[in-house]
Amino acid sequence: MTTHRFVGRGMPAVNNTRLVQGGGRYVADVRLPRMASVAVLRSDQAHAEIRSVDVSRALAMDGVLDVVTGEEIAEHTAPIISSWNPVEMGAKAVQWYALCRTKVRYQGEAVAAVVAEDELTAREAAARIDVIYAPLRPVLDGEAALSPDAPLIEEAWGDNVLVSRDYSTGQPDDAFADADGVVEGRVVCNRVTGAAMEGRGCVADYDRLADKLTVWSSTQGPHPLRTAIAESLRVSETSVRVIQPDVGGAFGLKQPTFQEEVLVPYLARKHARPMRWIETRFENFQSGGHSRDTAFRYRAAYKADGTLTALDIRVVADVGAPTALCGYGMAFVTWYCLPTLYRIPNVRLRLDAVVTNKCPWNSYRGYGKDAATFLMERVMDHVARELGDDRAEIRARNFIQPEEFPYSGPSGAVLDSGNYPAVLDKLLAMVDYDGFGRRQQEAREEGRRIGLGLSMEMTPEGASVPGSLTIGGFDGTTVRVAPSGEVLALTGVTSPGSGNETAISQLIADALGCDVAQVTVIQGDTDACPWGLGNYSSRSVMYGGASAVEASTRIRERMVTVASRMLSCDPDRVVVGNGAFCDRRRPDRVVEWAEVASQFYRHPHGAFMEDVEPALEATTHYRVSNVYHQPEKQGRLSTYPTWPNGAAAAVVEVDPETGFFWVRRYCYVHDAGTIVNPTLAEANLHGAIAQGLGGATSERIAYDATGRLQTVSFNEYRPPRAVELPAFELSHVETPSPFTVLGAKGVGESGVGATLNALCSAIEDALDGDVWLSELPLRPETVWAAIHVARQPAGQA
Amino acid sequence: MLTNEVVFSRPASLLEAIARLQEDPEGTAVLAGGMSLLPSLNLGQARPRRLVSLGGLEELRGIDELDGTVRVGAMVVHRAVADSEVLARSAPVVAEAARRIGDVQVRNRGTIGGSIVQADPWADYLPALAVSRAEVEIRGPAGARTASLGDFVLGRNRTGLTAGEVLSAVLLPASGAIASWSFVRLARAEGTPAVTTAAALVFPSGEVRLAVGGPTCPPLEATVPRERLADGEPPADLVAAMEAGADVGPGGRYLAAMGAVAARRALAHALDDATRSGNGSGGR
Repeated sequence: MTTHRFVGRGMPAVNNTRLVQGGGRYVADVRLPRMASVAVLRSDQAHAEIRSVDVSRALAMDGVLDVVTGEEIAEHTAPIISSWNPVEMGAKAVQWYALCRTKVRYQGEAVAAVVAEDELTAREAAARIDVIYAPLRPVLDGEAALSPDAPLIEEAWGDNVLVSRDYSTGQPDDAFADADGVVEGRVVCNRVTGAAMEGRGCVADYDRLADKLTVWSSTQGPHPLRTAIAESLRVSETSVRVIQPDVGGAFGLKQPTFQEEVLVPYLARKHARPMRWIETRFENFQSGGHSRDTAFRYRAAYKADGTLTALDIRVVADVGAPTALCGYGMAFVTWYCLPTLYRIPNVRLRLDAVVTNKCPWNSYRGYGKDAATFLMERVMDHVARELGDDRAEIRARNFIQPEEFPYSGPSGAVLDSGNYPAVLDKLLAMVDYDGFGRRQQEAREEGRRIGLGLSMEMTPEGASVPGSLTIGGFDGTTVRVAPSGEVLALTGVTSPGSGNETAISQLIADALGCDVAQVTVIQGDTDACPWGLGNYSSRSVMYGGASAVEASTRIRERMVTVASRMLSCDPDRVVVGNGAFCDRRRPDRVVEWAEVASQFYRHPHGAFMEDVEPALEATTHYRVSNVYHQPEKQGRLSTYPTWPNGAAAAVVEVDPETGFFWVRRYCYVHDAGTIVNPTLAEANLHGAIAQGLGGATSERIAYDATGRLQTVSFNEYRPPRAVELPAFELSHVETPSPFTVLGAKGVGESGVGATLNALCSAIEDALDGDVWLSELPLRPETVWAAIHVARQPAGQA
Repeated sequence: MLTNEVVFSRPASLLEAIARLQEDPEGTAVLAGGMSLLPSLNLGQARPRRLVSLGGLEELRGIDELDGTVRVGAMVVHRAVADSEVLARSAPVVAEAARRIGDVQVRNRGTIGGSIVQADPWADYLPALAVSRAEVEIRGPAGARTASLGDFVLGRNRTGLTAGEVLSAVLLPASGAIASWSFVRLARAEGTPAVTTAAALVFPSGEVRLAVGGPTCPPLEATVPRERLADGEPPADLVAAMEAGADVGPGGRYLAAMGAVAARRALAHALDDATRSGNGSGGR
């Protein structure tokens, strides 16, 4: 019997007080005796051959200990393990070393590194490395990269296509021929980045006598990083320990192995001195990884009643230069999610993920689901506009229905569960959709133009990619009850600051029957925690929580056995709660929690412990179902087990003279199955919506015509400030997943993608539909230009 | 962090500061609040060998009225400009511009002299100072000189300050003869950079003076009798000059259009209020 006392209860994150009091210990706070600093020289060219690297001026500087180039790295290290397994995904691959040797493929690619006594000297010396480049023509646009005369990023490939995906279901051509109407157009998503407050950083310390390499990194996945470091340095995996200190935001960017995470440990071993590299914001913009740079062309066929009958989509994702980072997977996910929440019988879908001379894509919250959502929601609005029909009605008419789950999507995806009509209905009530026309009219009479926009959203979570060391549908937890009765949990999942350790404590407390205050969660140390893949794809509660529940259940069973002997009753009469065990039939008979725990340590040969394993510790690894990695046997490849979804409504006010707009209300209804901690779930949604609004309205990574990055600081790349954000109105529908232990689906990415269309649609609505917005971001000048050059949907202009 | 080693000094007098500047006139940056200089040092965009802080110069911190001129020391922070009773009386449009700069941290640290020397096109002060016919006082090894704002600000991030000179004060005519005024800042939110700014003064004579910052740097300025503004539109030659002065391309077209919008709104606010003491107007 499990009584849920903590699960479902909103609680603030256990680390909040420590972190706001300045008690966080981030990688930059790791200071070791004799520590030297590493600075990386990055290419100032977008595309060029390296003719020579002269390090003499750098080496001559006082305080410089070493300068390393790609030659040395190629000789002494192995290429970095790819986060996604390109072979299994049908993608082309490159060998990516910690420094490049013959050719640079984006401005910011690491070319050489300096070791110096201090950071200032290291940076100054890096500027004195003389590299002679032979510039090559850069390719800076995804669609241009497909042109036959485009320069090749990777000569050996023969083209610039990293991966293509293609499928057709039903009879799209017939459906287009039979349609009552067809819309077509183009949608373009801007290039964005996660811009975590804490950038990347790495400290490595090598103990030569013990042959032990300890690496502190602002990473999301300490265990896979340990394997990657060991493989690249060709050292024993168990001689490497990776510690994840506090992380100041990650959003996916810190999931894969970076060049510096091999480089810095290499240098620490080479010099037998601690090494430190903390990146600057400029380095983060140049080389930390981007996302979402995707262009779509679409055609959609519909019936007069608003039913979509066919969809033909061409996706071109500009994934930047090919590396071992996991960003290009986002293009796959965009393709794989379509046509999101809608049942469309005839679909033709082609994806080309193409490489260019821009910073590689790297995972970022939304992970391609944001782009897929934006496209489908634009299509829905487009059809509604053509038919003069209601935007909510059109969506509702095309939803996959609650009774159709598990639902097989055309890409091979198996959608676990959902109740999209309930989510949309709740949203419409929340925003008073029916009353909006009147409010809009009243505002107009006051000279104000307001509009309402809608967006559904789909965010599959818990990614598991075949053949990948870093992305898998399982994770582990060790639960340990100490002699004092206190509980320690060591998890394979990690927290980038999102608070999952609090939710996991709640789950453990309920599964054991103890108080949440008794539970301490330890994360991010490969020498302490069981193997796990860390934090990404909203998996920490889904997998970390599930394995913690399973391990706790095993411990509880043993404690109940011993308690029943102490109470002289049958085990199934034992009830746990309030820090004690009692006999259900004789509630006056009680043994304290700590008394029972003590038996396992102080009386291993005692009367109550016969045939019971001493010490209270269990480790389990939980593997999720509804993942399909054996296409030959299962008929499909499907990488996501759970499918959270949501719906957003934005109310904006637009100033047509300036193109300025203000989000007056933002309502969001979320369905991620069972919610363990509503406070933290909503805190996650706040962050996601804020990041979504930033990407929708102002953030855009820009390069000039030579491939030089233009957005080098927060002056040019502007995430939203608090004063620019509305209050968020949130609500939940809970449709449990039948495939997870708790029915939980994962929280973290929903909220980002829905902002994109919600804002476009709201601005259009405020302007009486005189404009059509198809390119992001929606900066005032974009909206102004749309108003003053009023356009119909692209493709019909 | 700093990207290179810098020799820092914090002189106790203006004379000492000027002497310091002579030691390496080309390689010295003047720290006067640091709201723009410090970020550019951190980014490695500015790499001076020496940094001379004016933070210790009390003589640059006062706001004084003497013989019909208000002298605002170059190191007066925006917040002090915004809160000054002297300026509220004699140049309320300048005080309002100060009130709208950045956020409270910036207003507590950033200085009027620093802002003028930075010469950003979107700087809040420039149009307000332009309509106020401000002059700047410059001190250097050769002594003191003054220049009109229009002569001093030469272009985006470019001024007439020569190596070794310090902007020491802003001089404002203490004319009480303003019928009304307005200041408009087109920005999506307080604390975010303005796209364009505009300031307008209406004189009892019926003359209207208008300045618009953003499309060009320094701001464009026009003085016209209010009868010519009956249709509420800014003077056509001013609009044409904004279009000519802004960068070519979509960004420039937008800036020029927003210059016209800011001008129109500034006129509307100032003329609406022409019979009473004017009010600053919002960004929209």
